[in-house]
Amino acid sequence: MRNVVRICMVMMLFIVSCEKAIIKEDKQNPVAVFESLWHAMDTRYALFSYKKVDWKEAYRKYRPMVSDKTSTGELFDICTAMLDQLMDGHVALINGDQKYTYTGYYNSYPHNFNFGLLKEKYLPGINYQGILAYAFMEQFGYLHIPSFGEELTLADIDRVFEQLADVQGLIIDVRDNGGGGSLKVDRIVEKLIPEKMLLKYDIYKRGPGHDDFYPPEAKYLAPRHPVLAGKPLLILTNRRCFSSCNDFVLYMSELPNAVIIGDQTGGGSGTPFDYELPNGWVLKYAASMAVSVEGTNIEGGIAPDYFVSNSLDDESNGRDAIFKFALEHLQ
Amino acid sequence: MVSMGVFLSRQTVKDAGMSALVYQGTYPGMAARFSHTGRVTQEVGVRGAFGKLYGSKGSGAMQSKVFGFDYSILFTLRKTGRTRFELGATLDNYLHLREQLHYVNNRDYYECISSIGPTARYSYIFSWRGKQAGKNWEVNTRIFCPVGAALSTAYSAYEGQAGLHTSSLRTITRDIKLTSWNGLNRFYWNTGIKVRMRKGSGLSLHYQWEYYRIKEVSEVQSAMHSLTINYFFLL
Repeated sequence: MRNVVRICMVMMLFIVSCEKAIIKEDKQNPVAVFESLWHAMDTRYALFSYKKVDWKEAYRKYRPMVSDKTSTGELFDICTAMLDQLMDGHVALINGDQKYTYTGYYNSYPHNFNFGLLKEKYLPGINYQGILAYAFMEQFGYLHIPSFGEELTLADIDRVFEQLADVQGLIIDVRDNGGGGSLKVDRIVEKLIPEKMLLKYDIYKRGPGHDDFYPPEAKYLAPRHPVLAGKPLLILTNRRCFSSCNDFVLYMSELPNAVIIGDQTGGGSGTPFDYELPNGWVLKYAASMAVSVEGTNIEGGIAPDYFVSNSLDDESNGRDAIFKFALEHLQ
Repeated sequence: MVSMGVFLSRQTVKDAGMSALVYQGTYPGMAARFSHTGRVTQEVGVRGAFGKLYGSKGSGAMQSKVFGFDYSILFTLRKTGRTRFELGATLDNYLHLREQLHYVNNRDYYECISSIGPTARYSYIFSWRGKQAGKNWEVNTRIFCPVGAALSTAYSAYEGQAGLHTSSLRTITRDIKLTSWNGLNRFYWNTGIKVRMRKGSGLSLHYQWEYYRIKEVSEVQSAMHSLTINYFFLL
């Protein structure tokens, strides 16, 4: 009996003490963190071929800059310089309050949107439903969707479209909309399409190779209380329309009664995934890409039907050339 | 015999497909076990537990849910006045669901392991003198090490990335594949002491350690210590 108890006690102590040896933490020195980041991107990122980035060359360039003496700040700067080569707004590196994300898809271009000016000059009687802003201009309507994120609720979408059900045409303004959840995009699109439609294909990463993908997954949507189906739709865009906003504009571009006006969208076709590095930094990367029904990769954005940009003269004189063009087009 | 109890678990998880960090946490659970002893001993057990695990660095946290269902059949190989050694087989079904609370699109991870293999149990019955006289005590220890398994995992394989998988029954059943020791290392050790108070009923205290390692493209490891207090009785 005593021997059995002794053996059990020894086994318990052995298991507890050995567990750390069995489930090991990864090394957390700067070299190990850099290697982990590079490897995670190498095996998981979906857009190397589309971006034409030589990731091995990036390793050869940046790896020698890292040693065990590299400080945390220096390591962050080296890693973000390497990630910046991808020019992807879905790629981010987060260390607590310190965050890197690529902003080149909009900050080198005119902003083309000033909501304060728009409200003051063109839409004084604007109404709000949650984050959605809407207005009536005689028989036409205006709807501003600032985000498809958590702050936009499905109930607010339904209520706004009930209000706008009787308009004869609608301006949908998605300028400065940085994206969010596809569920919100789908709910809005379901109110605008007349029949079940094929809207895009998602292509997910399958294996560690840069071009290991699953077959494209078709994305279909069917109408759901389609209150505005078939009516003229004018979609206002700028470079800050990114990610699921880019998807929304793509879906609208498939409709014969919709016209895209403004600047090219910011792109961002991939689905961003998260991964924690050994030192606790969070890496975000695109795990998929999307192509239009015609097979065009929409990562670089969607070109408008009518390219309109606010000139310096427009801005200094308090004009929104994009909105003005849309209103004239509608009338 | 039926035994029902509550347990406290300490779990450590490392899922290289999800994170480079090790996650740990302590949470409670419930277990029930039914056994029938005749020529052979047959046992059916169910258990469930859920709670939070925290990353070793940063502010990562995940919700962990563990469910188990097992069936064992044991044959007595050697029996003396006080000792008994049994050998048999166990079919163990184990589902581990995890939700990374700080991720946005790739939050759900799971392993569903249905494994079969040999199991062995050693029991020793004794009585204390003095105040505890007349009460039967039993110390037992049991091990289980599967040799084959049907396995379904989420992001442990890159294949799991397609379709933003949720841990639905459809997804789990679709991705099942058979594996052996090469693909899955699993080990389970349970040891405990029980005392019969009256008319076949009593209390028991068990310590259990279970470990698995899934060797896919990315590796998943989990170790769980559990301390269980059971009340058992005869039906």
